[in-house]
Amino acid sequence: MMNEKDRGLAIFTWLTFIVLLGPLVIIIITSFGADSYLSFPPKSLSLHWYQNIFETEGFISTFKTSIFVSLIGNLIALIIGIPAAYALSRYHFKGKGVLNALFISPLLIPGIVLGFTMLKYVIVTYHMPIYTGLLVGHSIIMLPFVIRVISSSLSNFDFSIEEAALSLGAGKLATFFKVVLPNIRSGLIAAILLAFLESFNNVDISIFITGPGVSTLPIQMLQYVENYFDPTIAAISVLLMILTAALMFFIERLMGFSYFTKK
Amino acid sequence: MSLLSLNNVSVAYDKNVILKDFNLNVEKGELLSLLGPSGCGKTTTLRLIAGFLQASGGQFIFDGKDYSQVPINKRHFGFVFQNYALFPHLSIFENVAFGLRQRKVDRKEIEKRVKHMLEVVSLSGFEKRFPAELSGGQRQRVAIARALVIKPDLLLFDEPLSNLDANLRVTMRVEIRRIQQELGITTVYVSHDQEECFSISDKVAILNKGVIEQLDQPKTIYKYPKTEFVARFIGFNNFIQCRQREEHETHLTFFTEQEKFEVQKNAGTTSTRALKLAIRPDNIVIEKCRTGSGGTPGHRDNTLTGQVKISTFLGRSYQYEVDTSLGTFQVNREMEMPFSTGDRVILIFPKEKLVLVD
Ligand SMILES: Nc1ncnc2c1ncn2[C@@H]1O[C@H](COP(=O)(O)OP(=O)(O)OP(=O)(O)O)[C@@H](O)[C@H]1O
Ligand SMILES: [Mg+2]
Repeated sequence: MMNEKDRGLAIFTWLTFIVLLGPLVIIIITSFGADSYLSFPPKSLSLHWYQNIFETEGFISTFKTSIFVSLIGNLIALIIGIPAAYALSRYHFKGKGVLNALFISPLLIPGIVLGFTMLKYVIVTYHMPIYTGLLVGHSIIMLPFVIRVISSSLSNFDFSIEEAALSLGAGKLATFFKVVLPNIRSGLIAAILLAFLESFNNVDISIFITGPGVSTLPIQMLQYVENYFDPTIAAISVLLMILTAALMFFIERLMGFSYFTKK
Repeated sequence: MSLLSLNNVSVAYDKNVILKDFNLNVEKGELLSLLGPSGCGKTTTLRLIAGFLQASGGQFIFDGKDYSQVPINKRHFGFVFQNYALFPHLSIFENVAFGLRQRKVDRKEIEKRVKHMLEVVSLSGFEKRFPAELSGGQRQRVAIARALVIKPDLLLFDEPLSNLDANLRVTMRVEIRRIQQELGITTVYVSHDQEECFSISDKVAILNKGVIEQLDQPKTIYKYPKTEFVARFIGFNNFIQCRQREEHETHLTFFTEQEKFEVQKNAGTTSTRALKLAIRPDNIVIEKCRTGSGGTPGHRDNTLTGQVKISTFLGRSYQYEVDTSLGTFQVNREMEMPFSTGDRVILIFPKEKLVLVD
């Protein structure tokens, strides 16, 4: 038996689901429509727009750019972020709080501001190539994720284990790779995936940096919808959703989402 | 020459000085304990020897060489941590094998030595398990095996038994001593458990605020503490402050205002200015005052008269707090014929039980 309160709650939950997932469902369905404009519900079904993704110039090349920027940017963010997170967790030093805030700040500053600043003061001033600009910008937005997630892994790490490894004859580098990294493995993978998604979906920074000849997939999509109203974008969205869902599923399997809500 | 010497070493955390002009010598093959109250610098000393900490001054000589600049991983010392610090991501076998792998020992040899060491600590058959799947005592033994298997030049223990229950503690300390002697490994052992230290050590160093108050064989420390701190720490709860001393051929005589105490020579400190005597509650003899309410005629040396203030039943014995002209004394006495509060008593301080302290 359900009492009034429970029923109210159930309805509320369903409404929330509909509001959240409704648009997604609509996008999925329209992506299979045969008409050359977005319509819901579609009158007839087809895979034409999926085919169109691969036939239209720009989508595949920008997808490659996006992947490249996200992966290499990720690598850069890790190379800077892991030592930074390590130092912030391991040592006590003056100005640690400031440094911590600095590393987190890209999360707090609106992307548009960051993108505009990048364009005006870095790209233009130093005549930076677009690719380099993209890498720098994306590394910056990925850094806070890397540092946050790895720091929180390290906060559970018992550093006497590191001392044990050293006293058993392992050098500093060997200790880091054989003892520290394996014990923060799940945090490391989570950091990589989260940062990747953040970068891959990014519009607000990329839009300032991309230019003639070089673009990322989200920017290409934005430009496409300015000119065409066909369901190609819906089809791309579906493919991206599948990619994202696969990644999230991977994270979930690895450590459960509770991992992100705990801290 | 000693295997290990710390000469005038200083250690400070920021401005907080923990060790100052610290000196310690450890001989080859011996087990030396550092014993002292919490916060006195035991762990600091051990971490300094291991290389986890840098001294701000002084000299660290090991096996005739200056070790102050030798990195941790080149020291070849085994360290057994208070919290074990096993590698959670490695099996028991791999935990123990870790040090050997760093040293590029060949596979078969690793297999052989790890197996053997696990036998020594009675953990054969646990090779495939992970640290999380072991009990505290078992983890402890893995930690010991891991430190021993590399045949270290020096073994360092930081309160290795403090997390275990009383029975296991006794078993393990016997085990540690057995292994240490069997392999002849020079060992520095930290604890704040007196019984543990006294039972397994060749020598004990009593630490107080970063200073070694006394370093001796356990028996010597137990019987003849040299300073008031050491005396108190090991249970000499009674002290007599004297004003004057006289030296004789076989003994010393000490005077308070009205009383006179004779003490054996060479019991406790050899300092010629020391005036403080110490004695354990167990060693004071307590007797009924025979002359009723009056004073004692023919007052003897090494005695005091007094009145029982508090009487506490301890199970095997009674403990009395006795008020005297020289303050309150704590006295233990077997069960029979207990005294009650208010009784007038004579306290006898046997000459051979009094110890002179700084
Ligand atoms: N990392 C540190 N930073 C600052 N002060 C410290 C640090 N570690 C220890 N101390 C201080 O140094 C002093 C000695 O500490 P140490 O750990 O050597 O004591 P201990 O004798 O091992 O005590 P316990 O029996 O409680 O383990 C203490 O007063 C402690 O507060
Ligand atoms: Mg300690």
